[in-house]
Amino acid sequence: MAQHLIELLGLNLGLAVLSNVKNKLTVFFLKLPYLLYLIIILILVCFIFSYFLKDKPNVIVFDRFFFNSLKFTFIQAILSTLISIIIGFLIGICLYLSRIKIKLISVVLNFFFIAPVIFVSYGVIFIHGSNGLIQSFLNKVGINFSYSIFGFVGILYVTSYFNISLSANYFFRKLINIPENYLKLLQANNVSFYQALKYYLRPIFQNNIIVLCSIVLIFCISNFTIIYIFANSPFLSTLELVIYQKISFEANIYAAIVYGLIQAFIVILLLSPLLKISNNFQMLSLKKTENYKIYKSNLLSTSFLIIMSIYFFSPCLMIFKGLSSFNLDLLISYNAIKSFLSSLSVATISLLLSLLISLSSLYFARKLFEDNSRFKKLMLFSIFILCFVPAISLSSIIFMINIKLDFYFNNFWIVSIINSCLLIPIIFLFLLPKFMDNNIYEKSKILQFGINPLIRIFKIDLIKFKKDLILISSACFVLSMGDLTSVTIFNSSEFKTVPFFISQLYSSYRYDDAFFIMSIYVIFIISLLYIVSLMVHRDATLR
Amino acid sequence: MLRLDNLSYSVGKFKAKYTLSINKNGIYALVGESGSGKSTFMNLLGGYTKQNKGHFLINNKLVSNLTPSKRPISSLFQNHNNFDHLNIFQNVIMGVDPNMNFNEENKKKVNYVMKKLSLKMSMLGLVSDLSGGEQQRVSLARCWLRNENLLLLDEPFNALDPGLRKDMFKQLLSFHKSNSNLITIISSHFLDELLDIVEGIIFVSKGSIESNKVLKYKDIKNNIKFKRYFLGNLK
Repeated sequence: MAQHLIELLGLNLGLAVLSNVKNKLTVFFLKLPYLLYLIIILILVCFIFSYFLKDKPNVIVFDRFFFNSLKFTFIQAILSTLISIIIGFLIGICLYLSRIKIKLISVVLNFFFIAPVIFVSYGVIFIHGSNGLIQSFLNKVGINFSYSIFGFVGILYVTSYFNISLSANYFFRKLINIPENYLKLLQANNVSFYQALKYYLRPIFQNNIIVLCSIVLIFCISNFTIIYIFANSPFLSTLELVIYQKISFEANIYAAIVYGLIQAFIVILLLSPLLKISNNFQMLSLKKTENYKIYKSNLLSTSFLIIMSIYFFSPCLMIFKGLSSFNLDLLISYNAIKSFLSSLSVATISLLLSLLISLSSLYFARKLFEDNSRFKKLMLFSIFILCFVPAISLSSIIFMINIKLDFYFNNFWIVSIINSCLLIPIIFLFLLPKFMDNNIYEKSKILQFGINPLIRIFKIDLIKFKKDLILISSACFVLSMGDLTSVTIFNSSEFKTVPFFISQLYSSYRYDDAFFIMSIYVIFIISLLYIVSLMVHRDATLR
Repeated sequence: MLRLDNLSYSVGKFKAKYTLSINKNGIYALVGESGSGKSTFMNLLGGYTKQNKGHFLINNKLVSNLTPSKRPISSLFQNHNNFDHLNIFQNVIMGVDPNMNFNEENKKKVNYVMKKLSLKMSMLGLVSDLSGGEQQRVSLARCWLRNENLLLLDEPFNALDPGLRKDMFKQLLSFHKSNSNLITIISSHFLDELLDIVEGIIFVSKGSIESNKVLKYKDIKNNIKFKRYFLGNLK
């Protein structure tokens, strides 16, 4: 009997040890992609330092041109941020007062935010350029007035386009999330909308506004494509453009890396308010409560909304122009097909890589928060940092490494990796509130029922936010496809993406062809997003 | 006096139609199963939901066509009754002055109601620093200050412990003593705690008021629907 008991105990002990080892192994494999990512980051940092210590290149980098570009980077970024936040705030209010459906507002604002920069830029040129619609109209009616969108105005106009939609979305969500009882209280006490904004709702906006401002400011600093297209004078050059020029035209990699590091440093400084959200995941939450309306739109808000709709939708007119210049030969040409396939492959690879790393990071972050680890903020920082290390800075560093490695990596993989680096924090930030939702209660249940970490991820977490995962994946796919940053450095006759192909057509004065390819490209993107949203809403399990 | 004449509202499959007359001032309990239409009843009276048909009067004055702020009604909900970022003074005075001017006259008013409700802290303290019971008393102070004819309490004390709830009922009674024209309708699932202070019971079932009148406990305790509400469907 005693021997039987000992055997049984031994067996149970063995099974317990085995299960423990299995659990630890699972946890390790779940953390592995994030750890690999960390190692790569460390290798990059070590490489930069070793390069500076070993080679000690003796090149003058801090010239007048550098300081001028630094000054302009900040001037345009601060102005764009101010415009974006103020107009975004007003749009958020007008949308809240309007009768437009919340879902439609959400879809439209999200689209404007993720719309390819090159599409919006050429769309704006199509309307406001020297041969644009407005100028043609003025010439037709005999008004002798010419203006140019190129230059500072164009940079502000297009940079604000994306960031206005971001901040409008932020303020709109803040407004629709006001608890219904608050609104009833305001209504019962005859509080006007102006009074409500001034006294009662102000803290709702103020909360985390610094975080929004720093995000917008960083986006405005990292607007390489816009500067690349709209800058028409050496004085309108930002740090990113200087980095690009140093690499592409002067082959001064050392200066490019120094500038890249300076920009990364500035961005990291601006990033510090973002760490605040580690204490407030609600700020990132996209939950929409049922809307109880007590305030209505007026003539002023409706007029403002109409003007802003014209601002947002006008670049889309280019699609009609593009379709009217239909060119089948170009569409089925080797270059067009090749660039389209390259874009698709880059977007797929970068999305898969970023999904793998961000899910692993999310798992790791939640574990640190559940254990109340000291490293939780450091972990968040390691991800957030990627969001704002400008693609061009990263590109200059990787370019240098590739030279040292005798061009070991091909352009396709480099662009995919750089794009994935930019997608990781977006996926991470979007899914973080869902991952953290009820984690304290969940943790006790997980411990109580002994649920394996892998089961938790696949059978609890992924099911909980399957819909969000699909939506953010499609948005990231589109973002990656439309990026024209790293590909300006890493391209060849064999490798070019659609945005780069369009910019080449445009640079060689083939405007109609550029508009045509752009229209096809945008129609593809809109169809893709539409199909995904249909899929998400039709599948009952995804609701 | 409160009179509801076929006050109707429908949304989806849910249909509600209320007819009721209250002639005596006092506290009335509003009870009924979850989903029976208690909140709809409160929202229709408060003006937060617009009726499809019918009307209601307070002291023979038609009220159902007025906006919520014009109705002689104060409401208290289960949560979000106060703005956490505002101080006690602001949360109380907003009931009569939405601009929340910090002047002598307003200070006197707030001081008066705070004393009445035994709120002894500084009026400049943040509401978020108060306990749940104190927070609800601040909301009640606002209603007191408004001094309207109808007070709607939509389960406001449900989250409080039994002792605190009793305290709140005492405060409610003293509120009634100070305003003899007040009718209070309190929605709650804790009917046994209310029986001592209420004039009668309004029992809501499937979107209508049982017998279209206020009932006494002894008249309703043997009603099958009422028994089911308390005891469930167990036989």
